Amino acid sequence: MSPYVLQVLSLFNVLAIAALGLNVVVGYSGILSVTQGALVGVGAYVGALVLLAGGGWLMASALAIAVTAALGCVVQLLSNRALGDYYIVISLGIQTVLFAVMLNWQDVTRGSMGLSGIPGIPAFAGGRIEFWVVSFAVLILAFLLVRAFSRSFHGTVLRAIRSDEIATLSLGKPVRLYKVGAFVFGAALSGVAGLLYATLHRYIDPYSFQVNLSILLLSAVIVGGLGNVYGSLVGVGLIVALPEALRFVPMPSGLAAHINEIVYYSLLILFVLFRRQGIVPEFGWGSSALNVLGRPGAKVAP
Amino acid sequence: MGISTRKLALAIALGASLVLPAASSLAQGQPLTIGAVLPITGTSARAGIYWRNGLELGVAVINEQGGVKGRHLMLKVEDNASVVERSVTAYRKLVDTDGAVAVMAGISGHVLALAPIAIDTKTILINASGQSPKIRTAGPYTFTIINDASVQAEQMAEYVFTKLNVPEVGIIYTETDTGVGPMMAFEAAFTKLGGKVVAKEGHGLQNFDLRSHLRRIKSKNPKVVLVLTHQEFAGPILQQGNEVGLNVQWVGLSTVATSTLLNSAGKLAEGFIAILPEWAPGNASARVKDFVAAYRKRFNSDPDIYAAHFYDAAFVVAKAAAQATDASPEAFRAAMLGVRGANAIEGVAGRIDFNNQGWVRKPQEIVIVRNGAYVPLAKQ
Amino acid sequence: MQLSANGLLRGAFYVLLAVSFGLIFSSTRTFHFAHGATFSLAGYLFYTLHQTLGWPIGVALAIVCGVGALYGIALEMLLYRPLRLGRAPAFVIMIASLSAFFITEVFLAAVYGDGLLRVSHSFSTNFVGTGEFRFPLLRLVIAGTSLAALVLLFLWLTSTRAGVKVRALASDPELADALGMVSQTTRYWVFAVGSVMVSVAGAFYATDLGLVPHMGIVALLYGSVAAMLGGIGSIAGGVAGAMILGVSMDVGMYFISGQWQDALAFGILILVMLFRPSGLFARRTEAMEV
Repeated sequence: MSPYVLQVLSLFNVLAIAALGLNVVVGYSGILSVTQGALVGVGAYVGALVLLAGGGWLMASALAIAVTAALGCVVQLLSNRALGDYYIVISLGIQTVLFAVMLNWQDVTRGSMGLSGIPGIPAFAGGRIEFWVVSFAVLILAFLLVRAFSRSFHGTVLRAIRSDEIATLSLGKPVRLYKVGAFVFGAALSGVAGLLYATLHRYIDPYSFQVNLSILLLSAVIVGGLGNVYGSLVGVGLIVALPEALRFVPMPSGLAAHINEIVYYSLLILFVLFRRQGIVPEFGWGSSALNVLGRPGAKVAP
Repeated sequence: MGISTRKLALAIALGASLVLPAASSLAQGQPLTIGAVLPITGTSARAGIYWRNGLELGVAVINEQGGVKGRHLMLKVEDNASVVERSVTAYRKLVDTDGAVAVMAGISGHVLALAPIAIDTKTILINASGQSPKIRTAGPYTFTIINDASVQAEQMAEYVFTKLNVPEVGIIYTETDTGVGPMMAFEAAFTKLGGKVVAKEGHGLQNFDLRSHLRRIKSKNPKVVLVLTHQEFAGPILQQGNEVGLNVQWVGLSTVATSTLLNSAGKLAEGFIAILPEWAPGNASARVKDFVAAYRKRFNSDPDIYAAHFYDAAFVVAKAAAQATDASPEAFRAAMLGVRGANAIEGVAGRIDFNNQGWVRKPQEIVIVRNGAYVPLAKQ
Repeated sequence: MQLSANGLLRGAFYVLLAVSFGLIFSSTRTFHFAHGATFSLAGYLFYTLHQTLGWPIGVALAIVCGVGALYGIALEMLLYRPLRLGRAPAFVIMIASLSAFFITEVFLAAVYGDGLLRVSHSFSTNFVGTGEFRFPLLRLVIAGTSLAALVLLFLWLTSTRAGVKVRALASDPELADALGMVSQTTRYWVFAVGSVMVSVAGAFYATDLGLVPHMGIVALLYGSVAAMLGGIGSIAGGVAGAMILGVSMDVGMYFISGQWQDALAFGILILVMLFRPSGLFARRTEAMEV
């Protein structure tokens, strides 16, 4: 198979894991977070630093997950107080602060110079089948975990919180804790995705983890269908394939790049206007959209 | 919802082109394809435009002059949106699907990420703007045609410490590869000589209000301030520096010493010291004048040093392709290494003379701005 | 001393951003991301009219404000209103606004190129005062204009019919709607006025610092942070928030290196949010967590 296609498929696996994590946060819990990009970055840097220091894969994965999960916990606790529209500004703020740390803490992250020479799977990654197999396995695992989560008690409570937070609170459930739990789970998945990202490209710099990535993932999850694991996969497929597909449409190179962005954001607007439940609605095709994006009377936040 | 036969055929063709790799265009009888992976959008877009323009102009000139031994040179530029993952997919696509034999790229990190793929696919990777010295050892298929950060910074450090006799400097730099690399190299070299960097202020690419940064530098009282930023910040820095009362000897490297600085800073640019390879906006040589004129005519603006570098890159590839003994990638690589000594290229951005490892040390000179133009101060 | 004076001047610029953003948000409950795009559009248009075509400042500014207002109104008419009628929750409207923001900026990038453009004017090279207290004339002009804008806004809100309705809408949207006091026209007025304010800011920015396609994010960031800092729903809060942000940014950056600029702004916000989730001077405690 063409190494080019294999590369794109590998990238798909990595971003899909992050999207599944985001789906837990936004889709199941209704928390509108734009911090995911930075969390993936944290996972990538932690994992890369461990690998470069000689630590093995186990240690790299464990630390990447631990650090991002802990960070996710702190982030959610900090921002829990702000609701609704205020939350997004705080979330954006945290994304910006984390990016600034990645960029400016040069002693550790080497700032915009980035970290290079990160070991791959096994000796060379990307364009090779080994990476794809490993990342696919991780993706399957993540998929099963998220599905199990959504069917668990925690998941059910989250959906209750999502449709009516105030009512759930009145039932005596510690709403805040459940939301933190969901966020931590989502963050951990982002951490894993970050580690894989670092291994795929063997070089990372802060610029891959800006708010653009957060918005990219958010779009994937929304367009694909919030609250539905298959939807997230479809969404990521779209966002990975679109820029690549546009490379093949003949047009002057200067314009091509901009057209790509215009198409992308127009698609987003169109979906949001006309098919809000996404490509795959929460409970599968054919179900009515019992989800966070527009059920009449649904109280998301004041 | 039936799909027309035509659309189906198109989809199959598209799919096939993705799955079946294209033959390398080294073989005779077709146009020679070279590619470029550049930031046309995203964080580094402002720089990327110059790179692309320089490259396009170079390819156009080569084709006007008859191409490579009569073969048309075809350029395919892919956008990487300033992120690594798109650089990698772009490179793969150029090599796999378009049959590119050489790919130009910039941004050190991206070059480092692409270098192993160049080895794997046996294609030439030409770095025309990444300044990291790490690229020197990135592999046998990676070639750098610019002086990396160490080369420029070391010479400037030496000049400031010994000739200007200044032991303490301040630095303002852009937080990208273009700024951070030289900043680190300069600090290392300067400290080694016995000097001290008393203030270091970084700024983001979107931030043009640098007054606070400059004030902080002012509070540390250096006599010399090194401007390691992208060229569009030079004007604002000189103006805002004047505004906050920072009166120092301003010094910069080739990135910032362009006509943009002269135009935007006007009188404030007088006395600015920089280090340049032989190319400079006011350079008298016919080669450079022609390049600048051709660039102005085609793009309605002035080139910067990187446009010049990428312009030269096209000629390097063309020369190697013309001199390759056969159509194999190994021969092409050998021909690239052969661009040295008597066979070196006098580019518009200096002389390209590869060493054994595929990088260059171009002669460079210290210049100063006098009456709105760069004038050599000390021959290197 | 110089620092706080500079901080005040910086704050004066933020005032235009914060108050315009806060006005739109508190009156229409829309997180108008595309406000940043109005800013960019205004800046670039001002460049074309004044710098490229050479039209006098007054004329250019007036046209720019007009276009800005139209842009704001168009977004409300074509995007926000349909979504609202379709009962879309706030964050969907936010995503739509975000997309509109990016599409506009990409369009500007395609048209004007990605390079830095500047409007040059004698304002930017002249100074007032001496020694420690030198200030560029342009920044004083910006401060003066902000002040004038605030006064005009205040008069509008208190003396005109449309203005009074806007205040009613801002203080209690549900009640105002229920009482049938306000109409869609009022909403259009809000967008128009807010967009005009931010357009002026955009023109200033083009002269003071320069134009790049992604400049809109500046307006959005500092506008929303300052507005939230002071407390949405209160014009005075917006002003206070802007000034406080301006001064603390200048003071803060004196002590920590300039690279942390954006992080600093958000850091200040997060800190304040921890203790006063609705902002420093909020009249309504609507952001309190349940």
